[in-house]
Amino acid sequence: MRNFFYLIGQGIRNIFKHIGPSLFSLMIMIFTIFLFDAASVIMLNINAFVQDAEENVGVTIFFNEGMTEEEIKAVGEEIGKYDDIQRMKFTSAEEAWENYKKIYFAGNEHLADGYSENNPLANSASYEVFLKDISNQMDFVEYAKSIKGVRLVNYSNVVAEGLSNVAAVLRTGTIAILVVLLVVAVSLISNSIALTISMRSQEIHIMRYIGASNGFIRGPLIVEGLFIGVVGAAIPLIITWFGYPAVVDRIREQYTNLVNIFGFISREEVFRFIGPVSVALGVGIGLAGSFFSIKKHLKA
Amino acid sequence: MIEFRRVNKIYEGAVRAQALTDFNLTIGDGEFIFIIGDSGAGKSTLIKLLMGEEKATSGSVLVDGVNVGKLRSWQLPKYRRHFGVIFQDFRLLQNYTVFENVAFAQRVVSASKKGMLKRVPRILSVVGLEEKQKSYPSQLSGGEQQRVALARAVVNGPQYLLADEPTGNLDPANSLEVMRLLEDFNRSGTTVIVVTHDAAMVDQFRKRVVTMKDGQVLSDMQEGGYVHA
Repeated sequence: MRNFFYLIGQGIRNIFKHIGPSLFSLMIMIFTIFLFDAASVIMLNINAFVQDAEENVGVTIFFNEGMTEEEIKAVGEEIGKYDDIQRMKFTSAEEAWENYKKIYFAGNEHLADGYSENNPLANSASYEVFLKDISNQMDFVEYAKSIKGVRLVNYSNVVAEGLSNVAAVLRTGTIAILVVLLVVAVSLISNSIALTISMRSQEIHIMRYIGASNGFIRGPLIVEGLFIGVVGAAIPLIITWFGYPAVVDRIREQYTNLVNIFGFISREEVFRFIGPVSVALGVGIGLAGSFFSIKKHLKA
Repeated sequence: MIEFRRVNKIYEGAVRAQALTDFNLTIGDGEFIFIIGDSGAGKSTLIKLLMGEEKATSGSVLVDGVNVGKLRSWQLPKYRRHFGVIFQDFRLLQNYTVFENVAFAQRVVSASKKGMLKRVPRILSVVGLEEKQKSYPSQLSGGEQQRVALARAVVNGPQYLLADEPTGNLDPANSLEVMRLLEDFNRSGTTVIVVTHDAAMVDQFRKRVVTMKDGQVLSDMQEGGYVHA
């Protein structure tokens, strides 16, 4: 414990003693973590959008003409038996007509008076069904279509499936690139520490003969890897902290239409995930680099 | 007490080399002993076995009853603190001052800062370098550098002082000074083992002399002189 700060100082000093390889390791670390952060930001936003869509994009079910209220309710009960339903909402023909009037006769409600005795949407009673998992939408649509008395099932699978597919491709691609970068980062840090061991071989030899413990000899090497790892995680996090709102603003300015359907998640929400995970990644890569190098180049 | 009991050491490699053959030697506490012999006689192997850097192929190396070859790697640091070692090439840390080089040995054993500030100047005054505390090794003569190495070796108060060709890079006057310091430390109770080729020193000091040849003891004389093996 007495030597704690000394060992930390030695570890950081080692980095500056061979600044070239250390910087190279650091750059790769920054690139790796930044890629992870960027991919996470995109995926977190897509996930939030898909989740939002799951909660708000419903399947609308209409019934055969001339069905009584009891018959419609029976169909509703049949629909309700499906497992994956989050909530369902019944809209009667009258409610449908009232909603229609509000939207299309706004300000000119008297024009609709001519229809007062004859509801043009008499056959438009419907159930709007919201599913727990939108990726199961097609299964539900098939189920609903099979129910006797159902005339029409309206749904939109373009947005949900499209986003799910983009997220899946992005996830797979990012994981593949990250795995390669992780291996490169670990081996570069390991290499940088091997250089320290070789540069300090005489010092290490003296330390051994004086009776330095393994911890005293290895401590600075672990600090060195850890330092590169933590700084390599901190820099991309700082870039993301300032860059994310700027990019979101830019997108909002350039693609105003997109803003209406796509709500970006807040920076704080992004950091709740990428903050701890990036630091853990940095620490993990740094430690792994140190341990590999110590195991390979430093004998007791 | 140090005991080598029927020690064999074989280096396996591209060429198989037998460095020690049925080697026996006992060094009592407080002794001053010269170990001499030609290159390849096994002197360096002796030091490596003592320091736990190498393990005997067979036989045992006992230090105060502890079998060095049986020590686990985590036990070695504490064991090595019984020894102070100096080398022919001094092995000082060039970017450290004289004070820092000696203090480094104290730091390694987690000595307190207060103790360090007291002990380091004292030991530097013993070796006559109190005025050079802030100098760097490159600013010192060979003799002075070896005295710094000696101060570093003894600052933790080791039981054994191991000197590997301590005068190999020094002129006669500096060699004599270093040898006298070794003798002083021996008088204060430290067991001193000097591995050397320096016939003049061996002849002058008339201590126990063990001559090695082909990994075995050729002769072992009390108050002996240099034997050309």
